[in-house]
Amino acid sequence: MDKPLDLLQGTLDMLILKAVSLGALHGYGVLLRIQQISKDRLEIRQGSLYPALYRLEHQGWITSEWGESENNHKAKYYRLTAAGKRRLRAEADKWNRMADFIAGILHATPEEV
Amino acid sequence: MTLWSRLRSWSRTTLGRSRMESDMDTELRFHIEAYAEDLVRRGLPRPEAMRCARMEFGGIELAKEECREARGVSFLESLAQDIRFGLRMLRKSPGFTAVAVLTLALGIGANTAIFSVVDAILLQPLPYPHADRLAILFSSLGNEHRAPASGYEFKQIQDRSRLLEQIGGIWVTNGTITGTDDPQPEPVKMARVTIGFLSIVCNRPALGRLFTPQDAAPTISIAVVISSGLWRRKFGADPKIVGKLPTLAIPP
Repeated sequence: MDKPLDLLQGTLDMLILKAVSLGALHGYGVLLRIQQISKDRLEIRQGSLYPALYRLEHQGWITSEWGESENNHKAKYYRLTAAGKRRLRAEADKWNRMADFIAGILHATPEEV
Repeated sequence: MTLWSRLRSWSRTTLGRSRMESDMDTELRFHIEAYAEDLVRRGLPRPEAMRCARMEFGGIELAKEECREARGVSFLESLAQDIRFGLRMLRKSPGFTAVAVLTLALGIGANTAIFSVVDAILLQPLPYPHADRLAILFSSLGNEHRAPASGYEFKQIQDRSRLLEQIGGIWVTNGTITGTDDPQPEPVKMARVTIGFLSIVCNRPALGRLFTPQDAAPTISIAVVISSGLWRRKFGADPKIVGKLPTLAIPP
């Protein structure tokens, strides 16, 4: 297996929004889902996950409530809010434009310059 | 943001602090335990799994601190935290605290003392009319010693100086005065002054008059102006004292 990639600066928030947009998750669940979707190719520092969750909640993109985990533990579940949905769309748009743009630059050939 | 919602947000972060802390504890503990359980399922012994989960999580306190910051912990709260931490550190090392407090006390004390002197001498205007236009002249002996000016010198300055509007001379001495109220002679500072001296520093006396040119007549006459304090202390604040000469003992 390849060595996992470090997360690009500023992308963790977007990935968290995406992860909880697929259904309410507790913090550990967010981590697992991102790892699962990325097929373990992304390395997320566990310690940095919670400050990001708290920040997103403070900004109103996600909201939380206490619930029961699969094995009957008290756990805090995060859900995307309407504002968070808009935010995720905007972030994804920006990311895609940026990626296209960078890819375009990297594919440039001598004839195009 | 309205005032009300601002107050509510503030009270929530301030009053709900312990609640938020315990929630955060529960949440992070859940994370570590859930991860450890996954590790156990993968075949790690439980203590090893817990240790591993804790290690991979990284600094829990650091994460908590970042969470608090992300929540927008209020300025007051972080200030209170800093103060508590400071007090704790001070209590831990009483020697250092004592030295620091002593240093501060000395510094503040010395500064206060110096300031009150500077304030009285340099900053506060003298309690006289036109205080900004008063000056003191001293006669010097040509070395660092000051000398009382002679009457002749005074006359020269008075006649020839164009710098000063008015000029008065004062020669201070010690003497005793005996009051009517209290027969005990009291040692006092007294001074011989020239006619114009008192009118420079005093607009008008509370009772009676200041010196006039008649007082300087060559006939032997003595006129005295006393302070309000002395008037109350030795003469019972008697308004009829004007015109009477108190018993004075003045060295020649």
